[in-house]
Amino acid sequence: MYSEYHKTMQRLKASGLRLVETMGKIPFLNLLIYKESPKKDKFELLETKEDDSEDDVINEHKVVKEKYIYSDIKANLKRIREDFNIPQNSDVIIRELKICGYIDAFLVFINGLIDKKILNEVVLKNLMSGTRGMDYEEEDLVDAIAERIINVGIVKKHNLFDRIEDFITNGYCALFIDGYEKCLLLEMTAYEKRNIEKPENEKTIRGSKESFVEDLPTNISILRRLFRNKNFIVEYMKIGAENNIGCAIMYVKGITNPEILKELKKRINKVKSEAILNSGMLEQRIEDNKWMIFPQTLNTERPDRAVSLLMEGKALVMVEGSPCVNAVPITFFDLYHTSEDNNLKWQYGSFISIIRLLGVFMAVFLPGFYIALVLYSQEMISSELLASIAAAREGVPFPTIIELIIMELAFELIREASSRVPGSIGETLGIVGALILGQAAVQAGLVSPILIIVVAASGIANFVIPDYSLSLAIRISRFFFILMGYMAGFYGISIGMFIFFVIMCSVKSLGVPFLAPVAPKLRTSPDIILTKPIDKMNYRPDESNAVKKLKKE
Amino acid sequence: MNEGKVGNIEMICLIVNAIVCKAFFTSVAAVIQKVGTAGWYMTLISAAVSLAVFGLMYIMIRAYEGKNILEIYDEIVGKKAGRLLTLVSCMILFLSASITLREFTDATNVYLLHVSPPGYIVGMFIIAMIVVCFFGIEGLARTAKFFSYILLINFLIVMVLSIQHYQIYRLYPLLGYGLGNTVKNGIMRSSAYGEIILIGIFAKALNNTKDAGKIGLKCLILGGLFIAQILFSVIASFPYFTAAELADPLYIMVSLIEYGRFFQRVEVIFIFTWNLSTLIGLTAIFYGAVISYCHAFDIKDKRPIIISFAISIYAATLIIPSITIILDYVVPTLRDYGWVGFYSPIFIAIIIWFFFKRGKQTYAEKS
Repeated sequence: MYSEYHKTMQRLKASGLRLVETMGKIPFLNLLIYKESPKKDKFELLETKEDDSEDDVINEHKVVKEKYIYSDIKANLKRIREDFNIPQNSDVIIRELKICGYIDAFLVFINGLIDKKILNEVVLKNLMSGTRGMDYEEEDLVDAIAERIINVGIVKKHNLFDRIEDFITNGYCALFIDGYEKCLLLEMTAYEKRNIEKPENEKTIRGSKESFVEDLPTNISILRRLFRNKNFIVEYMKIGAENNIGCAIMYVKGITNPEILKELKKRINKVKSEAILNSGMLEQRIEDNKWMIFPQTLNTERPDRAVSLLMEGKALVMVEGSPCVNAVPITFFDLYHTSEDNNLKWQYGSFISIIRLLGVFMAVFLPGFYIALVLYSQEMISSELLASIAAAREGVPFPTIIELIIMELAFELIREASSRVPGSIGETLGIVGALILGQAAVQAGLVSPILIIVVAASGIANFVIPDYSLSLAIRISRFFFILMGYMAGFYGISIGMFIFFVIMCSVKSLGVPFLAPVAPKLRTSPDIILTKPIDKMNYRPDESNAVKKLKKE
Repeated sequence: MNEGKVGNIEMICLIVNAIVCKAFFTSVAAVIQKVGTAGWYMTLISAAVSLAVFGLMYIMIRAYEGKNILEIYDEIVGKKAGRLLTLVSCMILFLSASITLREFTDATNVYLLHVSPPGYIVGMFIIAMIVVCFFGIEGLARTAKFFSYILLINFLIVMVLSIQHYQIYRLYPLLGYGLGNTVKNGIMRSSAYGEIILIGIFAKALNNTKDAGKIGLKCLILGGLFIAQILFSVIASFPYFTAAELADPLYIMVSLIEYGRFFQRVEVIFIFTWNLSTLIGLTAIFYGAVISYCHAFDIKDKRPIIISFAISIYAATLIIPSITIILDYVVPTLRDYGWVGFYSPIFIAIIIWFFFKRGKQTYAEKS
């Protein structure tokens, strides 16, 4: 009797456990299952003293089996052919030659990545004719060639195949010499790149008119030119397990908090992706919370903006092939300001800032407020306005929510289409879409003119948001507020606002709260919304926890 | 779940919202019914009583530095009895949240969403509470602070614009239904400030638990002033016998504001003040109840509890069939006897600590 009871209880327990396991696999029901809270690798930016890390980030990034080169040139040649898949790989060139008249050597480089003029007129010529008569038995031939024969700017020596191959893919030319276990790497990088042009997405009236390009050294040189300071540090890293693309972390030693840099390097080192093709891909992999709608890094294509961010104590990350730089940590107010704000007198800057704030509010809330007013709280509209809204809606066959959603989607379509087609056609498309389609829709009685005004006003307001990612977040949030306004009028909108702001207050960028210095309140220069005269802005933003808080010494 | 840290001002904003949000609903009329025109200062007596009880709680928080009040109960009376005291706090917070939510629902139903069923209004509110509780106390407190400045401005606008209806003679007789009655009701209704115990529950989220004292003091002063101002403006705007009959006198007062054609529709401002303050306040109370429950049963993962508590609050809010029962029985009972639930754990703990633990603690510190 007892054993039957025992067995039944065991069966029940087992089926209960199975049920809990099944529930755990279903996303929503997963929330109902008790489990110990997971230990998250969470980063908080706390007050710390300066502790500069001198880790060699390149070495710690990639731990692979490394093999030394051979003294036998044939073995080296074979290995290089294997590693670069020659002859399938037709742009990897191996040029065999003899130096000192009879010592076998070969050069390896990638066609198109090096300067052929330097190769032919300097390197080959000097190696083949300039080495004659050298007494290679009395001195180290590799050192002698590096010091006296090859007159190119940067010459490195390496004996590891992996490192040598990395340099070759980065535009270096490798020189292997028979009998020596060292390889010379000659910097002869030269490839086609875009010229520096005007910024496309962050236009200003008075600001600088140059933007970043896709070439990392060029971008760094622009920053060096604008920020001539010996404490401006550029650290190179390799990212992308397969494409091994270059990435630079830039900061100002003595201003940027070392904890930020440690955490940033840690996150970049953790990226195990096969290929990082641009800064956007890296940005998504280093942000604090991938589920948050708001951007957690600031993306700018303007060198002057990048320099001002550096001076505020932020760290910059630049990826080879991306014409922009990402700054961390950031707050909403970094995304809200433009590089022009500090270019203008404080009165003008404050005025533009207030207009922009109004624009942000209109972009988020205007359509939601409209639908809440029209559907739920008509008594709050004055009689004349109510009459004109009613008259305008007369004959419109759709309910207000459908009308609004159609118009919002149409606006988004026009906007997306105009940004994807070539410049002049895009402008025309915008005009055709906005004016002609809107006018035709009103005349056809499909939508009311007031709704066109609401959608257009919120759309225009969206354009005042300087950051593209923030602008997208606000465009999506607008639909949320339309839905909340439709579901429960102003009650729904206040619930939406509550959730929206709690999410905003919970977002962090490299441990820094998104709404700082407002929530939480921190000491900062008075340029959150209103600006003060430039000589009153003495402090760096407190949230960046810069080593030096005071701008003036 | 992210617990996070909360600044002092953020905590003050959170607790003041939890205390003041009740004044937007039926409590104002109930106070006027009880004490007549003396309501505006009666609430200050309630605040003073709550301050005294809070002082007792603060003595324990100081004695057990770095611990919240629930852990202190466990230390003083042992884990099992401490669990009981914690559950009493949990229960009263749960009741307070569900009853205030019901008041809010009925007010919203009457003035804003006339045809929506109460279950729909409560459901939306509960979903917001769940989402916010998942983000933890840090996000909630920061939002409370962020909104509090805006809410304060809205509140001041409403109060200033209502001046046109104030008639000072309506404040007379100053002693209402008698000084004794006012003092008695003031003491009994100290539960209006009972949410002050949340400071003890959230104490570990503060950067320093010793700050709890000044935070509590400021919360009670601010809460008392806000509620007194609301009562004052309502009593000055309506004859007391009319105000005592209004389910939501503050909203009626706002809807009467009229400064020319365009400034006669300011209810919308008040709706946001009312909704946001209630959302912040009730979410704080709800979160306090969840924390208490999880502490009582040593539950580390709060997420399933948040959802099940939310469903329970939904049921408890809607279980009362009509607003009349709420106005006549539920709210008066909670306000008159709520202090038992809010303060009795503190009384029990402080007595035991004083007679049995304090000496030992002092001896241990000295040795």
